[in-house]
Amino acid sequence: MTAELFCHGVTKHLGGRPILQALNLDVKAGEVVSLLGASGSGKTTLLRCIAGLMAPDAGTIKLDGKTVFGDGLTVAAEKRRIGMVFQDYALWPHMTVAGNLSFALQSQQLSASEIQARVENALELARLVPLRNRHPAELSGGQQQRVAIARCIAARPSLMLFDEPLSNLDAALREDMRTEMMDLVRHEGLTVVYVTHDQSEAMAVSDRIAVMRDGLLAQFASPQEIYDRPANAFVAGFIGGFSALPMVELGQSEGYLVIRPEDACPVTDYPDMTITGRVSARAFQGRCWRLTLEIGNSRVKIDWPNDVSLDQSLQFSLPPARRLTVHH
Amino acid sequence: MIHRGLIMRFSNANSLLSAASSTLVYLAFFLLIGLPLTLVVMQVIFPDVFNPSNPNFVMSFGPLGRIFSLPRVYLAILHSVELASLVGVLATILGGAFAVIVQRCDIPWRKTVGIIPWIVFLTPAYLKTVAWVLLMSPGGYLAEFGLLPPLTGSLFFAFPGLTLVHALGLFPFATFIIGNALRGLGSEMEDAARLGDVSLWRIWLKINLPLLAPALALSFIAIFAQVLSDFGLASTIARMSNFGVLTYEIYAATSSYPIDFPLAGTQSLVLLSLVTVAVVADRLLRRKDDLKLISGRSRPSRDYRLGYWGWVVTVMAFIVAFIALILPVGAVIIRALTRTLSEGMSLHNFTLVNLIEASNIHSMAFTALSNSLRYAVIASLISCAAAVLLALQLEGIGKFMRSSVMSLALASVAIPGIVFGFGYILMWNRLPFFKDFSFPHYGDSSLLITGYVGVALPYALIVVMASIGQLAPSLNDSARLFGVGGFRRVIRITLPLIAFSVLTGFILNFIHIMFELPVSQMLIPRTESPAPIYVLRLLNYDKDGLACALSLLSMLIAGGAALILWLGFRWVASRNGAANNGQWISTPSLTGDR
Amino acid sequence: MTLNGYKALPLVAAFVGFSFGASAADLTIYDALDFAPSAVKAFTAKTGVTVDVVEPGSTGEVLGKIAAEGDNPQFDIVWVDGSAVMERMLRDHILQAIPEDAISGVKYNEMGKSLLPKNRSFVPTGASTTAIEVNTKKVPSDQTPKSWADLEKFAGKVAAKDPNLSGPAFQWLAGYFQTNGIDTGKALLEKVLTNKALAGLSSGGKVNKAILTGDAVVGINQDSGIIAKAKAGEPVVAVYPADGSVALPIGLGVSAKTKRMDAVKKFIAFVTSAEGQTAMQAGDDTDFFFMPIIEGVKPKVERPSDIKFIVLDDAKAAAGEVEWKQWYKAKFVP
Repeated sequence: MTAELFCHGVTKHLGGRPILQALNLDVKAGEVVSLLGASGSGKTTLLRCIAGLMAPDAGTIKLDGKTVFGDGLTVAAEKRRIGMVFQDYALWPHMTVAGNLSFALQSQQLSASEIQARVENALELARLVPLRNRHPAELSGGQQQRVAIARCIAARPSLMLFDEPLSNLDAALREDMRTEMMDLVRHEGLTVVYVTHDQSEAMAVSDRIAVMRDGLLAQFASPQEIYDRPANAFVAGFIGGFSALPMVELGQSEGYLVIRPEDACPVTDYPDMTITGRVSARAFQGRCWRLTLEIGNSRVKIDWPNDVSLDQSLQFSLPPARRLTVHH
Repeated sequence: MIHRGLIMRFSNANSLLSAASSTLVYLAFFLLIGLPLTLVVMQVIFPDVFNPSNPNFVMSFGPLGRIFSLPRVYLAILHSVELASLVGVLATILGGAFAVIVQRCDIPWRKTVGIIPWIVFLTPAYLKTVAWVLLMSPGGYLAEFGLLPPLTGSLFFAFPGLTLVHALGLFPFATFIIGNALRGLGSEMEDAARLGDVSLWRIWLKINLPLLAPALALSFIAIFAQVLSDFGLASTIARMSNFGVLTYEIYAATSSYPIDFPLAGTQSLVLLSLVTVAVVADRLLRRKDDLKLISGRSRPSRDYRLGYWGWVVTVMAFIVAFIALILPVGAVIIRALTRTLSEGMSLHNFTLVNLIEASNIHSMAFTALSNSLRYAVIASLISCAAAVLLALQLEGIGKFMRSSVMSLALASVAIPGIVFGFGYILMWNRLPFFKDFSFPHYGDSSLLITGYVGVALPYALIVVMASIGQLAPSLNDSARLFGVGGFRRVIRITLPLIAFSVLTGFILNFIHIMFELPVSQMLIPRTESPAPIYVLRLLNYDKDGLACALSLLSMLIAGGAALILWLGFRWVASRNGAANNGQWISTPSLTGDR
Repeated sequence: MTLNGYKALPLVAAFVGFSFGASAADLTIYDALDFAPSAVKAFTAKTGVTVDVVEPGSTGEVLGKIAAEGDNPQFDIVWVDGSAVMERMLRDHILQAIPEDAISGVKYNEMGKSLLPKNRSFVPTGASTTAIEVNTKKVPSDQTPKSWADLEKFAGKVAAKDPNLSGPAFQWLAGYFQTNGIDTGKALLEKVLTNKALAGLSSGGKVNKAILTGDAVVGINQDSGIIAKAKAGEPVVAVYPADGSVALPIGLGVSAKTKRMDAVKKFIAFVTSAEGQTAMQAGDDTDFFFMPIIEGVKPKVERPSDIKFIVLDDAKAAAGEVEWKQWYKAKFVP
């Protein structure tokens, strides 16, 4: 039921613009990989290419060693045994929850009793049993999402694709849903490709993150790796409030200093480095204050234990182990 | 390896099949609409191509020039555009207002107000023509009541009256199109704005109206096209003033022997161009694709509470209903129940004679009626099936093709029936390949039905395409990923979701065909003549009474059939367990339930 | 559970199969006359020859259909009011000259003989004329117009048909110009038809309506129509002007490409016989009140015996047709 995914040299142009540029991606069986990037970075396009809803211009895609695209061969989306949770959940509005689940299974060459069994199983797993006869319009956003996932899981796909599944939920709900979703997925041991623009979400769910920019992979590594050692300023800027400060502001000629907000500490702790900036914005975060400092022409965000008034000058330092410089 | 080969061959065969079926559908469109039209229009440049004694392909641009040299012709063009534009705007506003108040406001008598557009929609235009003449003539019913001040009469049988009658007759189209879009709109975006404390008017101005813009534009263009091609109203109401329109000129050009085909063709070309300009302007102004509004996560919208204002709104709606419906239908009923017009409503003038004759199974009237019923059912079924097939093909192809076909359909609506009629005769009686066909064959009811399908198809297409266009593609995509094949997806997902629109299209076609005149005349079968011809004869011989009785009967049957179909549809839907609230099912808010 | 599409196809096929079963009759007639169905019924009862009667609407529509059919006509007989149009169709080889032997046996009366065309483009089967229709409730009897010129008194309230749309209206106009001279005739009409809303009506029924319930008090209309209305109880009367009016033949033409000449001849023989003419009077609509042109046949309603009939010079009428029709349209039709 789980499969490896192998993408090599996947290229796609849309409307004359290059969306994917010879992208390589490999996902091991049972692994959860996120495609993280801003809109227009090509992540949804890549997802749709993997699913077979779109055909790349060039490249190879293999599922479990079998080519689904490439070498002049294309396997239709209907035959790829891939499950996908869409951003709008794509629940068929005229069918009940149970109807949605069973219809999804009816084209899979299963016996009626097998279908019934799987539907029951999925309903239980996703805690949807009391809702089985409702229609999607009668469900809350979170419930609709559970149905979407349950529907996919019931079909026992070899690969699961998620297209920004949490972006339509209230912030408060998001974390709970995320946990629930990933529990289900891990429980089934599925291979997952998860598209999102929210880096904290990507960090939370993935075994590895593929950071995408303009159709290319900026970095493909585990969340820890990306957090500790972002490959470049772009990736650094993408992750958790990190700021990439051009070294020219500190008197150096090139490169960027990666500043993680939580690393900022008083100059007295590490006097060998002093960075000075002017407070241009402040936001209370409960545990601390997040200050935006203007340093020369750049802006940097740091977490500070106490409030500092606007336009005040502030100096801070970074622990030696946390002074990472990157290029471009 | 064998496995791979099979997969390849399968996907090749699949795409071959798909290409073949789409070609077939485009061919049908061309044969039903494109070719007949071309044959009429080509005579603009080749005036002698169908000359009975000396056919030839000599080119001449004389006919085109006549447009500009004949003042009455370019005046007619101007009038047509004026009228069509004004009616388009008015009817869209009125129709949109109805859609909003029925779907979104908690007005009293909501269900009744919701039915009004449907009944207006089911009342054929020419019936209203007869009715308004009955009402507003100096010797008519309103005069009898002393309700007709002298100036109103002459004002009515001119541009203002014509505009009013058109708008009151066509606003249901806007109600359905805008209502459909509104249904899919939901309140989420509004709610988001309201949380930010934005006033209701601003919400509508900045959020809802822009989102509804595609539907508003479609309403306008569809109504614009309909007014351009109207002949009945224009020839009766406007003729009495100096307000000639293009369709009348076309009729005049083709009403004697020999027919001035080049002039008729030129004028048809002008009508086509007018609509094309409107459509192109629309496309240019709104580059974005139509919003996908029926998605897998739509939620029902909430009502606006109007309080006392609700009563005001409802009363206004009833006034509209009165003028648009009750007054004209009442006039027709009275005329059906009276012997002569000159005696007006004096008691001894009332009689059941007309109704008895109209319902007498052995009468010519009844035979004609049953012929038309049969033709209308068959042609509407074919037309709707064709529209669904074509729309489905187009969904898979691309935005540009869809846009083009939609524009083509809208342009076809602008073609007067008489041009279609002639085009069909030229195609099926004169063209070498077609005239020897035995099915359909000129002179048989088979060709009449084909002609009906040709005039009805654009309407069905517009309704179905607009509806399919609102389905979120993810609904289909997700089914694909579950291995659901194309055919099954159409049957289990697409069709149920557009079913009500298809039903609307069917009823629309049915009514249109039941009362369609010019094609009926030109393609009249040797036996089994349809009803509209008979009714026209009655009207021409001043036998309004029987004509009204027959028309009433037709209307009742058509309305009754529509009601049965609609109820049946709702029953089936409820059997399938759908929530009555079903946003997705595009049920009109006859229920107004929430 | 869907309404249409695949599930309905068998239903459609059945229905269609049911509808498509048009039997080809022996003869096909295109006409715009009220009495055609009753005449045909009597004919078939007598001879056993089956006939399809095709009536798309008024004369205009019949002619339009024939014109569109062009060199592949689908009718055997065309039967309408009017003669000028038959001339044209003969010239264009849509019609053929009526065979000598079909006409020679007909016992025409005086009027009938005067209506026989020299080139045999049609067979006259009856006649009507144009008269002044007067609303007796709106016009006191002492003010009734007696001639076409008298209509000037009623300027602005005169209803008339547009000769572009009505064959009889054109024939009347041609006859009018023939008796009054073209220029005098035009001048007089311009004084009479001052109300454009009434001057370009498309049918006799509309003229009627205008006179009965509209703004008109008098009108120029086909006399059989006026008589029919009067018989039905409406307050109208037909006045035959002293300066005369064109006799309008009801013409029967034969398609140049008919394959059933023998049946056609039988039909012509029937409708020009006393029996046929009687069948043609068995009804209440306008055309049933035609003037018979066969020896010994009485009309349904007698006309005054002193009507002055003008015989139209068809050649001159054909020559001026296009120009006169355009003049009328420009002057009197909105």
